[in-house]
Amino acid sequence: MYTSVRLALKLVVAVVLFLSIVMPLTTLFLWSFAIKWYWPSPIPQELGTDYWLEALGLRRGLAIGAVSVTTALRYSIIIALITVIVTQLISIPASYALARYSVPYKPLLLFLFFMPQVFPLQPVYVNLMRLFYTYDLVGTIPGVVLAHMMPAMVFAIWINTATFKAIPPELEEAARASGAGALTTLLRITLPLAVPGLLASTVFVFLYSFDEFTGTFFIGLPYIQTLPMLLYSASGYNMQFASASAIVLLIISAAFMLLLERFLKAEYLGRIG
Amino acid sequence: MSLLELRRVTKRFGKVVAVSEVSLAVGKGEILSLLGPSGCGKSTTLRIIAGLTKPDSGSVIHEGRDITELPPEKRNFGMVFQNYALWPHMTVFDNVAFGLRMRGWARQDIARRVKEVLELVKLSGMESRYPTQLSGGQQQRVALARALAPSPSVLLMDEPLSNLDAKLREELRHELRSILRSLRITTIYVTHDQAEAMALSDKIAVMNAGRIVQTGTPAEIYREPADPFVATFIGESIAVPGSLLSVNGSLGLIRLPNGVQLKARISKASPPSKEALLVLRPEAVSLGEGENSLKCRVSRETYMGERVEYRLECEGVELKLRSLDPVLSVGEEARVVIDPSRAIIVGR
Amino acid sequence: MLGSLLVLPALLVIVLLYLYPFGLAVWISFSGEDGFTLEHYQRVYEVYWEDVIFTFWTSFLSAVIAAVLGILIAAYLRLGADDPIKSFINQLYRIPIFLPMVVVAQMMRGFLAPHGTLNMALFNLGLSQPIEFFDWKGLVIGFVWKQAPFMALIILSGFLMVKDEHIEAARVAGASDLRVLTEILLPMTRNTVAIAFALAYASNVATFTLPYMLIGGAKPTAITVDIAHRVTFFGDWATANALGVVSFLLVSVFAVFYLREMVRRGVYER
Repeated sequence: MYTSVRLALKLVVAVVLFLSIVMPLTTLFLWSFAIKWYWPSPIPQELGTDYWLEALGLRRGLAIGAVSVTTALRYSIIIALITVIVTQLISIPASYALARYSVPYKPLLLFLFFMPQVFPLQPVYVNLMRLFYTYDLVGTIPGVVLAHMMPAMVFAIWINTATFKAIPPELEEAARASGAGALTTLLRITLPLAVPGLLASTVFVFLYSFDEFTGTFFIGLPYIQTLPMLLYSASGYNMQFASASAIVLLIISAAFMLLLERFLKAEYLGRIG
Repeated sequence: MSLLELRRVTKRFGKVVAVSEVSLAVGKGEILSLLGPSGCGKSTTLRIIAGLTKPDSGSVIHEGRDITELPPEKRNFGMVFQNYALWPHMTVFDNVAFGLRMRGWARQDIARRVKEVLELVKLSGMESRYPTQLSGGQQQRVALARALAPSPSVLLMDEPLSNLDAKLREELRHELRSILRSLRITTIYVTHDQAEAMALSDKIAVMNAGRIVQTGTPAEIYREPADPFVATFIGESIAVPGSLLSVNGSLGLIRLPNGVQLKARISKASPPSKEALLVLRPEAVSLGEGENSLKCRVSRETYMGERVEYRLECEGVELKLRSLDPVLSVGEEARVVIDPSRAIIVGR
Repeated sequence: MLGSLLVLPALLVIVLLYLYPFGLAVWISFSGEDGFTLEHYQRVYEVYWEDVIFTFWTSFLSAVIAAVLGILIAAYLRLGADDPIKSFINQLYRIPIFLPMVVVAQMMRGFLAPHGTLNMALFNLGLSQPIEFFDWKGLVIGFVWKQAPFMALIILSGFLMVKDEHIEAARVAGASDLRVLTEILLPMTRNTVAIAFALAYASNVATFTLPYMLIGGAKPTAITVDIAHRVTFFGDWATANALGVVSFLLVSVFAVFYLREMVRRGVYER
């Protein structure tokens, strides 16, 4: 009796949870395949791949906003790759220093590096946009990269610092004691040991940039159309096309997230997009 | 009628059988030890009694009622964990009061009862300390007080003294014994330490590889081992395989591989069989000549403080001999007598 | 010395791309034609006060609901018996974490629209009038959908740090699942729960996509939408920045708690 009531209750909760998570997702998928969908039918009257073909650039679209996803995707990937390189070049040395050396004013530095994680970034972007106007950075790839780099770097520093801290200093000391110089030790001992953690932060920064919305909105639009921007622009007037591009964005994000989930603490995962 | 009973309880973890067909009965007020080497299934058995682990088959009976499916919080048992498991965010008072609060006691009753149990474990005045501010021994006392506070029907203890140093362990063992006796509380005590089990329990169930191999009083377990495992696990013994030649009342004649024939007592718990094992504890071996004796050479001498221990090579058999004074030296030859009432024969 | 040198580029990035525009937001919000002024805040109060309150309570309510759901999911996954239902839920609940907010916003547009899937379902169940979800309701649903799994994940990682023994000791002492949750799990992980809550609330206040795509300029709306409108339609940086400072203030209590906790810990673990 006792156990069967529990089981029934558990099943009901599982079904409710399943519906509330899967129903909105299903909507997205149905919309991307809907040709005709009139109220109040629970499913579209006519299904087809027309909008997918347009979205993927396999067929020219006639509707407004129906530009190909591929151009936006290219922008997104190029920007994300540059952001990764610049961010890691700056954050890896900083992280190593934070993990290994005594840096003056460390608490203040930590405070500064944590600030962008909690305070809203939008007001900062608004003012960056003003500043970038004077340097002609608005609507350019370097401008967007800078906008993505700032918050991404903060996370990269934390992940990388934790990575270096997890490497016992004795391993480096042993290398030095065996006659290796500082640089050799760094290249032969420290960096190879740090590779998994550094890879995790690299994927994190890539995905952060790939999914970033607010910064691109203020610094990039209308010239830099990344995938999130394309999705947003289409969302107003072309439900099917927006849904298709949302699914493209979803699939890529989810794939990287699955990768990250194994390596990173829960706190980080919610900070993307 | 027994207060608590296990009936043919079996538990597997994957392919490993942790507990196999274990049956057990504990009378009211009795202290029973589950004794065995690590991994023998004793802790799993205890967890099944507590309700923390569900058995695959078999049942747990408490006061005649089948409680196999009853969740742990409804069993009214108390449990002391190996690592104390004191809640770090609660004071000593709150830790001890927890079970009482869960049972809906009134505030004044809780305060009175907590005071009472803390007195019992000699921790009065420690109420507002946090577990991290206590020594290992004190933490152990809090854990005991916490388990005893709601006056549980059965007290379960999982290697409660194993994390303490040897001296403290012995001290607490005596105290524990007097507390358990004075409360007359039914207790199931899991340990791998035979001295602890001997000192504390009315009854010992020796476990090996998921099974109970023998249940009995400490004296029975020591003097009448049921099988080679119990014979060698309990006490400090040397076991020599041989074949039983004849039986004469309680004594048997066993022939060792080297051809020597010795007389020894046959364990009452082990029916005589041709394939037998001669179990020699140090108290069965003494210097001397005559019947039932062996010719030996001293191979090693270890000074142990209050006594000297010799390792002897006796016609192909290794023996231990204890002596209060250093009487032999390495390389020396001597004869030892095997006391037939102290040497034990068990079936193989 | 070497340490400072290695940190310097990162520090420069933060100072130039974050601290400077951050300070600028505060500075501009108080600057009028004749120096110091409160007129921008006056406008915020006159025109956007409703939105400030709206932003606060929708963000807070969403974070509370997400926290409650997150705690329940985490508690079930920590305390529930291992069975197929549990492993199913353990896989299922994490899905929303994998989606960027802009995808969630687009999805909710289709799901919550007046003639969207949810209203269709309700209509077919017998509800006569479609419910308008493109207001606080849609915002809260969207936030909760995205944040509850995130909170569950963080809180579960905290719950998993609580040793089995501590839970079992409570069980044997007579505590039901609910009491184990309220007496043992939550008190032992209260900092983790508080941090998860602070993060969820702060990120709700800061979210631009969801209110922008669900509510847009309709009243009341989130201040992130107002800031965007102020800048893109009016080129009015002063009011936008005053609103920005208000959004800083909205998260300040939680932000200070979070920052203190983080600096105390010294560094994040991976």
